[in-house]
Amino acid sequence: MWIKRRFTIDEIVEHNKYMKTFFFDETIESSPGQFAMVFIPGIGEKPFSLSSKNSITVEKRGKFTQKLFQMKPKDFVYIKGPLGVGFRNKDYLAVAGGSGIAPMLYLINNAVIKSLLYGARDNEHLIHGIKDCVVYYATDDGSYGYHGFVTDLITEDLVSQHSKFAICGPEIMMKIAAEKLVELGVEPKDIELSLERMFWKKDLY
Amino acid sequence: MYYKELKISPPFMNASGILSFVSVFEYLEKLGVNVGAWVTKSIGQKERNGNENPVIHQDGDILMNSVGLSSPNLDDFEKELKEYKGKTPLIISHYGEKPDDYARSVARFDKYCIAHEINLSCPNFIPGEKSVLEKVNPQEILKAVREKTNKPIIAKLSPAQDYLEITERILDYVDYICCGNTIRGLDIEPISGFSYLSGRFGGISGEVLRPITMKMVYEIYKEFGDKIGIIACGGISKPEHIISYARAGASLFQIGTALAKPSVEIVNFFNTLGDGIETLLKKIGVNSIEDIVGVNYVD
Repeated sequence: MWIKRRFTIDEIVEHNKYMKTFFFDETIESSPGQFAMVFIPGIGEKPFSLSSKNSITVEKRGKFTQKLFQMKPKDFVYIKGPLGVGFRNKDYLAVAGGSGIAPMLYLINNAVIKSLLYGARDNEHLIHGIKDCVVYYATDDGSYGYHGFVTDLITEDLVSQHSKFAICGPEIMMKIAAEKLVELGVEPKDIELSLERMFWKKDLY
Repeated sequence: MYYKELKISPPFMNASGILSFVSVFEYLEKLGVNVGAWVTKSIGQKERNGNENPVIHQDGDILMNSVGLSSPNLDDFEKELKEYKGKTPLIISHYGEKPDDYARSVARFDKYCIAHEINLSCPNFIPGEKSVLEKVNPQEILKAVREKTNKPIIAKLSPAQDYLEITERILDYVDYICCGNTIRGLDIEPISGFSYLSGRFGGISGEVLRPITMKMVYEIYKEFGDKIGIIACGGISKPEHIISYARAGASLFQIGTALAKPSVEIVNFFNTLGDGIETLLKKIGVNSIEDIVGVNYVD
């Protein structure tokens, strides 16, 4: 059910300098891949993927996320959601780039990811300690895991062990990943992308 | 009398600013929706981002928005119109800062639509901006527009304006008055003291508008009903509301806030509205909505 309410921050998990997960005092009836609008009065409102029924996992980027990163337990935000369409399958090979890890954490929580390919620019931007699925890491600078793009980790061998594919991350990464999967014989209907765009802005045309 | 009839069936459509995009119209048509026309989002001369988020605030039955006329530029908009493959006719909504703005976009898009809606009452601007009627005489706008088209012209006014006076001034140039628009309001977040909306104020819409707008329809019909048609737009969410508005004097109907729901439900909403109206007309003992337009015993 769609809600808009004031949520209190219960707990904050600091994964690294750039990534935090904010847990709220209440849950949002939702499915992995859906997002919510988070409103901080006087600052603004931005969309974030849910990383569980009661959390968002956020990368520090601009003015809004900087403010969010200053928040402490017992502070509040408003949440409107859930919005969007969630992932629909299971036993995924998931490909995540940067903050695209957020909806994958929700999928992992629901035990529907078999293998995860996870890339970030460097080790400082990676979330470690992901359990319950096989994780293959990549960093652009080689500071952890494979040295190169996460899409390089998509191999014929790995693809052949899976029938469903979930992708979330920067748009260019998702494009390359999807193209590569199709090249390797995956049917487009078995690939699900979670992407975020502001409505009507020029790049929509 | 200047009264070009806008013939659409069924007699209802979306309100400008909701659903908004021709790609959305096409999608809903693919799902099997039946509406008389689609009304586009208001188009202006320049590309506009509108206000920053949050631009929507909902609390209980009250919905407010401060979108602030975000829209593409005329070229991009025309590209959309050219690609439109839907069967339902379009009504194009226009906004501007001066008469020439309206006239130019009416002339340019005339071939894509069956009527033009002239938005004279958007309550949302970026803070610091003025509303168009604070700057320009509405008569000049409608006169300029009338010279550019032979199609029906709808002037969209708000219950918060002096609508009887404005209607009288533009009477010679318009065919329909759209009653009304959202009404400017404010809601403050209690703990922080900031507005819930980035644009500070926002247009209130939904159920709460219906009695206010119905009075507007009733008054305009009483005064000018023999010279112009009336489109009712404010808080319609069921067939009963359409019948009540028809009795007040409206012959066409727009739906806004009630469409803030998933696509499938929008289709279902529109497609059951017609049946609901039929049932009510039968109960009254008349054949069509036209038979009850302005038929009330309020006085």
